[in-house]
Amino acid sequence: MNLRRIAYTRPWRTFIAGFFKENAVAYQLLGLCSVLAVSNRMENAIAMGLGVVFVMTVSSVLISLLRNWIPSQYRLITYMIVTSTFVIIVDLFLKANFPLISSQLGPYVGLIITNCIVMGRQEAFANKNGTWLSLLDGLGSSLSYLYTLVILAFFREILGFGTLMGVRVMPESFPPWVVISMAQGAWFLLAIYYWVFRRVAKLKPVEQE
Amino acid sequence: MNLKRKLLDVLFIVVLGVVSVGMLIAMQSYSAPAVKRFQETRLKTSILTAAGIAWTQADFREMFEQRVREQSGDGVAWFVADSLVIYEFKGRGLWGMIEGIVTVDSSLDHIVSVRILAQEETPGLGDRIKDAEYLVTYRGKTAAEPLELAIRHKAEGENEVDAITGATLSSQALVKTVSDAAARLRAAAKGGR
Amino acid sequence: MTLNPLIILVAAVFTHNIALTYLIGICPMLAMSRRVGTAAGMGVAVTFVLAIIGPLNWVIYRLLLVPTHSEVMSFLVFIIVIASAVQLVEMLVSRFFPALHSSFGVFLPLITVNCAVLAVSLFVVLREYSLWQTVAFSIGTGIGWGLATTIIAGIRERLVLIGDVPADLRGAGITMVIAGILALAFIGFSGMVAIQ
Repeated sequence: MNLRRIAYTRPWRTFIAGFFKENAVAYQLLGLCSVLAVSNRMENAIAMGLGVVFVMTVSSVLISLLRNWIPSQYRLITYMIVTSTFVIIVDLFLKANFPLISSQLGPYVGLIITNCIVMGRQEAFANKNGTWLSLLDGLGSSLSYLYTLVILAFFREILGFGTLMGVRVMPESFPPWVVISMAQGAWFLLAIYYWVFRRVAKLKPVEQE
Repeated sequence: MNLKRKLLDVLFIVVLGVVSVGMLIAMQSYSAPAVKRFQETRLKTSILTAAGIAWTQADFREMFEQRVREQSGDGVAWFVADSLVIYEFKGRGLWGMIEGIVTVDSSLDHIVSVRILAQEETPGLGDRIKDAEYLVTYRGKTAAEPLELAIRHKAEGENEVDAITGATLSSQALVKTVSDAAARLRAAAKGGR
Repeated sequence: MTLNPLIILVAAVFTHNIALTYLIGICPMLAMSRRVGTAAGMGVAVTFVLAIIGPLNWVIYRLLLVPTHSEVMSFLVFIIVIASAVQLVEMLVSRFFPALHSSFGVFLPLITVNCAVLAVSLFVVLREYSLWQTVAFSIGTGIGWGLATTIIAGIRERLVLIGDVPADLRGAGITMVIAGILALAFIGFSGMVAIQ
């Protein structure tokens, strides 16, 4: 099979759009609350990112399966019900069978349910497209969220704590930039990321208001 | 026709809601016994560790039966192992409850150790209250008076505890919870004795 | 905790602002902060809805979920209540206050997805507030969110007039910088009131 041909197929383009140019954070501006809160350490970024990847992929599929029945007026509430039920069920399952993992992920559960990315993509895509494409869209968007978190966490952990994945990286004499490890300071890093990303992805600048 | 459409829409939501709630209740009853067992294990093994008693996955229940005595008074329960008194604390943190155990000496005057069993504070900041490097600062602090958080200066004396930089609220929540639990325990235990 | 509801209200607006201190409800804050008019309008709508939904969810929690030991469903129930209540409010406003509806109506559906509303419902449960404390906290949160959004909108409007924002930073980028500066400024309020 000619691999280059794959690049022109609809599934691939769906996936890559969500993964790159339509980056969940820098382009769609979704999931910002959690990005600011959770990207302060690599460990947390990876845990939260993976959680979102899992939830998004599955709930996109779920919504896509239900899309012909969802009443137009109750779209948002349906997305919320489906997503939160799914997340809570997974959380309860983890609590019962993998309690150590569950206690690590505890604080993230609420953050994942209310993460605008999940609902945003369900509304923009899963509600209108087939199951396979919705899965790829969910996967692509959530992976873009994951790598955004990881990139931000890389800088935030090194500058804010002097460590990376818990391993000391900066010399002891380096004064940690506590501000950047707090969500309030993370805004600035996020702005830089937004700036750089739009440059790299060659996105068109927003019109001056 | 419009009315029929509206009713069908509402019916969809109702059915969805009922199915979701049903699945949650089912999941809850499925997981409840396992969760209870886990919490019991966590408490017992933590108490054994705090008392310096060695245990393994196979024998911790036995060890607990043999070496730890449970006492209570005035609606408060505590555990006695060798010359140490261990009791649980549970208080409100920033995002959820903070639960743990405090170990004090037999006079109930000084803290030997604090250990967090469950918390939901901000990952990377507030959740550092569970780190051993932070909790060790509670060692030797007083359990006889309310503890205070030392902000903007290093903790001096037995009744002050350092805060975690950037996580003042969570540190405050822990200090308050530990102080309250200590006061409650002393009232109940001394009342009995 | 027997905190004076008025203190809770003031704290929710300034010292523990839900958008700038807890960083909840950010997405709509960025989206609605282009014009002061839009921001203020959304702020009023959010406050109004919160004043109803906060206490409503409190009542449902105390009278329905706790007695039946179904706290595990809090999230789900709150979400359903919020979505339904917002729809209901929108219907009532469009029927009885059509003038109001034409100016604020468009904001109402967006409130369903404003995490601040769900957060209020969860916080009043966690902090075990009384009904009056819940009312104060809900209104305070709405005002606080509206205030944060409006301040950012004001700065953005001025910035358009004065500055030459770099091309790729326009829109959300510069808003993030403004939000960061404002969030840092609000840290200055911390310590004024101890509410936990």
